[in-house]
Amino acid sequence: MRRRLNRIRYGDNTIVDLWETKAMQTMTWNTLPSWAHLACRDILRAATSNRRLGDILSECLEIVTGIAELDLGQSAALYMIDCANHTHRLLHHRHSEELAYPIEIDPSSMAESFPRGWGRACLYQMPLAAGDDEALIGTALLFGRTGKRMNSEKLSILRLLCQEIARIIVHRGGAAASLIDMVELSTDEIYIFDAHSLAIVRTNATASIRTGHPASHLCRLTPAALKVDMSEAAYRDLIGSVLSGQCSNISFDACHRRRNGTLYPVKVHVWRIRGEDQDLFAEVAVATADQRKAFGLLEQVFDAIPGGIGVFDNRSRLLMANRRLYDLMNIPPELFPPGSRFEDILRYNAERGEWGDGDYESMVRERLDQAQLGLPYSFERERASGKVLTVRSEPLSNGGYVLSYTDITLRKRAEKELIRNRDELEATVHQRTAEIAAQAAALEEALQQEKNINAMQRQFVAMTSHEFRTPLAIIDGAAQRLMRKKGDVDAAFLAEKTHQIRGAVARMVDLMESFLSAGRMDTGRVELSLVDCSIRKLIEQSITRQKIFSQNHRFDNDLSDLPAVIRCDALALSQVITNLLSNAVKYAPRAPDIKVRGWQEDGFAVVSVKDNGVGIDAEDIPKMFQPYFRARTSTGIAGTGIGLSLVKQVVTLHGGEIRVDSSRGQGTVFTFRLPIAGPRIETPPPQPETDDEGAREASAA
Amino acid sequence: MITVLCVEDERDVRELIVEELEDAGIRVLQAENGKEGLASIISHRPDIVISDITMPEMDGISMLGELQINHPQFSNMPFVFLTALCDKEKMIEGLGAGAETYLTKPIDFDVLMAKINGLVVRIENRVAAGMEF
Repeated sequence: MRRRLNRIRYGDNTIVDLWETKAMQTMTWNTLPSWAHLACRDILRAATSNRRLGDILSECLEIVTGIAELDLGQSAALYMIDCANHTHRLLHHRHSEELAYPIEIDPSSMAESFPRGWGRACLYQMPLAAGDDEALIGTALLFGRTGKRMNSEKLSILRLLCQEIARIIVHRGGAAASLIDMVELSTDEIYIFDAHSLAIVRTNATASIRTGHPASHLCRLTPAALKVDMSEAAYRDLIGSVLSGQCSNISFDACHRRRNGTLYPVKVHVWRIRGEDQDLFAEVAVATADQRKAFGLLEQVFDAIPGGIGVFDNRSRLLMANRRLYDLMNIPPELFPPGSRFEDILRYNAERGEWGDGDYESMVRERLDQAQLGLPYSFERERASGKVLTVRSEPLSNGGYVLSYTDITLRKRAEKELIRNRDELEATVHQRTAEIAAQAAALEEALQQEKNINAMQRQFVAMTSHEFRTPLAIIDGAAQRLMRKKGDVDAAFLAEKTHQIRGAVARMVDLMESFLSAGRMDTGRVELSLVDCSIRKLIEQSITRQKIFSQNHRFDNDLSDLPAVIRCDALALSQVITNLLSNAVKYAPRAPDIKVRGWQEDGFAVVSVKDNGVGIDAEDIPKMFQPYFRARTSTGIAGTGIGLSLVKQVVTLHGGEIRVDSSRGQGTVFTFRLPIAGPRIETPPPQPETDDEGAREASAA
Repeated sequence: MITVLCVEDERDVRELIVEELEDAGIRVLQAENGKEGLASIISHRPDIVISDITMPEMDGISMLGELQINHPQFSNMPFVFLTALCDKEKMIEGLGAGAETYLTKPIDFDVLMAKINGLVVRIENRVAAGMEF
């Protein structure tokens, strides 16, 4: 009957019951299958790097969950026992938010379960302890990928791996100092032996591989037995000074015999290492032939690499570099052979101005600090020669680092060219877009203008018809009235009707006159016939005529300051004044007072006509002199929109100016100035106004 | 006696119409623009309105619109437009506003009087039948 060890409740209310699992086979290094062996070595290798404990644990969990034979999922978490309340505090987790809660478990046991809510996956609980008899420090939780449970051998291996991780946590990254790590990781043969019997107590994988003896076999031999022509006594003599404690280590050359009888030369180093209760010594046998061969090969590989490669040790000394490194850094190889300090290389470059101006020492310090951080990094640097390099640094597990230099000048040049082309293209596109937008806007404006002109012309035609029909109605109406009376008319009636008819006819004549004038102006056939004329008299006559049609209005004129005569076209000027007076009457139906003022200033005769009528909207004012334009305030008041444009043209032809001051509901003042001496060039060719040229042409058509 | 309101800003035209109507024995009220016309309709309740369109202050169509919206009690009162605006759009606008008929200037007094007499007959028949406008 299996015992329920614990129940875990997670934040999402998932409940997991963990059931005790009976292990275990006792696993030792030498009985581990090769995949487990490799995993152990990978874990130890991760532990020997100088990285943060968190990074190391991440890698360790990745190694464990990545072992195909264990068939684990990606999720894993490590918990530490929290002494304060006996709960487990999350130390580290991987791909598992669900596991990121404090949990309560009995950490001493191994357990497994099928958590509900996560599909049928196994959850394994492993005790974290540095060894079988070591104190528990926490718990590891790992998911199986499927519901298939591990067999006891695999469970034991998983526990062993968790032990290795626990050891790393205990040593806090100091695992590199662990004897076991050093022994296991070494690519040289290592034999740890007892001083008294010379019996080998521990050895490593390299020793088994080189000698061909399995580890269990080696543990029955002595270091002397592996060497050719070396008795135990001779071996003791050789290492005597170390055995007696005279010196800490000794080296000598020897020859090892493989299990198959073949020989190979080795360089032997023997140290005293302190065991806990026995005096232990370590022999490291370096296979010199292999080493030379390997180094030669490495050198060839190095030189075959197209980029520059430099390997530095943990004290930032150059261990190895290829030719290309010297070329790319542009430093003489004889000046910086292996063994040179990176600092000196940096300083050499800084002082040559490779890094531009600045404080060389601080720049060197900065680079050096960065290199020694133990983190991978890369950056781009443009040399003084124009060459662009990518510099990349990869840390090594022993605290050193590899620097690689790649020449990316061509790529950079291509990139720049590409960027330049893109920018040019963008600029062209922008420019063309702006041009097209401007054209579209101009077209739109022209179209709008055309529409406005069309609308104004339609309005003009309608109003013209209206303007003719009104006097016609009077004439026709009066005639009909006379007919209906059939001779039964008195003199007064006859006089009245005749007066009405003549008034209407005069109105039509005026109307026609203004159309004809406008037509003359439009076709440029106008010629001013200049005479010296009394402007005062001209205005007074116009007022008298206007009074006949507008009996409700009062005209208040003060023309005493006007010059006696001015040089002008009397008929045209009379039209100007009549137009302004009739406008004042027409657009002030409820305000009977109209003021006419005249004076002179700076060689100009100035005349203003002021009414208190409907006024003009501010935005209509600039368009007041355009042909056919009618202000919004003119709604309901008959008119053709040609009078003021005619006025403006006559005034302009005389070399004068006209302006309008008004606002809606506030009445209107028209003021024009004419040179007393007449236009400077007499009868100038008429200049159509540029701003409404289109309108004029359209009306002429 | 039938009362006709004549709304016309051109004094000469107005006088001719008034004379013609008075000769036919009709009482005539006069107004110079839409605003005056509206006030006259509300206070004097004429039987028929003859109105120009283009007038200062308030045009004829606006006057009719104002009447229809704010004084619906006059919606049965015959409203005759007599205008120098001869374009079809304006005619449609005027009739659409609720005018009885749309006559144009120059005025044919025979036509105008036929129209007015026809309306007078209609009004008298209605009054005889006890109906109200």
